[in-house]
Amino acid sequence: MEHGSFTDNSAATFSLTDEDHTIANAVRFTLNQDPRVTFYGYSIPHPSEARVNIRVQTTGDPAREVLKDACQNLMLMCRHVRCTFDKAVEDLKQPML
Amino acid sequence: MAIEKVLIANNTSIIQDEVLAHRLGLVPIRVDPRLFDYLSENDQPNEKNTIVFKLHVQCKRGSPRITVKSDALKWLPNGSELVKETRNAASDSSSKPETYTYFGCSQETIPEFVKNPIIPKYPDIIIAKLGPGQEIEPEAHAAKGIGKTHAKWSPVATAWYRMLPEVVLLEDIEDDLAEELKSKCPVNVFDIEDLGKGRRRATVARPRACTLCRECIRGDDWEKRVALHRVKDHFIFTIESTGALPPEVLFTEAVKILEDECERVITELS
Repeated sequence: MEHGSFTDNSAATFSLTDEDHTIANAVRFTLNQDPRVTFYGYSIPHPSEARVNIRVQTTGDPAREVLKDACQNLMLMCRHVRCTFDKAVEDLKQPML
Repeated sequence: MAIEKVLIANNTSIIQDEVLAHRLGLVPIRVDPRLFDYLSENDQPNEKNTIVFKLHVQCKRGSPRITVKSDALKWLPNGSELVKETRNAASDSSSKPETYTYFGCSQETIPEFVKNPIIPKYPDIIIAKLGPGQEIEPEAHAAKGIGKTHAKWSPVATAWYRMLPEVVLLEDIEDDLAEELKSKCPVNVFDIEDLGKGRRRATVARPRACTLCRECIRGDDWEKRVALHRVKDHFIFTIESTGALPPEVLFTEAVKILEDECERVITELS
């Protein structure tokens, strides 16, 4: 669910259901590295309800695209971590002679 | 996978039914939960989403007290043995009696379980204690779940992370000061290297072992010689598994979950 304005799509608030700090904090890290982002914050309105409100403000690019890019970057990071980790575990189990 | 439903055929011990069921639920089971499906309310319990265990211990009169440990749990690969009571008087007495699970085939035929029977991970967990004349006969059905619903399903005992400590020697520390520094550190982070001509210098040998206790900067002037930081992008994760999966698999699965959540968000946004 996105709450934005029709004229200015560089700032929007996204409301995600069934999510929590797991995804929101991780995306916060990736988005704060992005030079296009002027503001990123998330809040959890009530801990008993699995809902996260994410606010993104950018320097002109549509907020939705920037958020999507950040999620893609996060996915690439996850894959990289997994590959590197798997290789390292294999190296540990069979030390290279 | 953890025990979710306990069908109690007989319980004459002093442990209450619900306490016994609670204890059985917390016993870790040595099976890979990725081989099973989730069991929801409308599903029938079958060999793809349920594991059945049986426990039958009786303490005879005149014999000493028995401690029931988790190795008494026997795996039933063919499903439940408790017969459901059907009110249908016209039912065939020759047909198979209906039990609480509907196993299509024996779980023993699944390739992963041929050589490795499903047992609790630790055989010495005390489940109950029986006095003379007491008997317990529960049948336990295990199902798949996640740790968010109940901690018994969490495959992790504890997990924590810390950042790699960085110990920097701001100036050369030599001779007696070096010896003093080395003896101060309770985990032996520092080492002495010989420079020749009898002079010794302190070096940082094992920064990973540092617990940041700050003993090395206690006392006068040490703050000017030793700086303690954390490396912001180097994390040391420690993961303890309860036994179902090895810790490296747990880490990979956790990263996969984060990836899946990202994908969900991306598809929702598009």
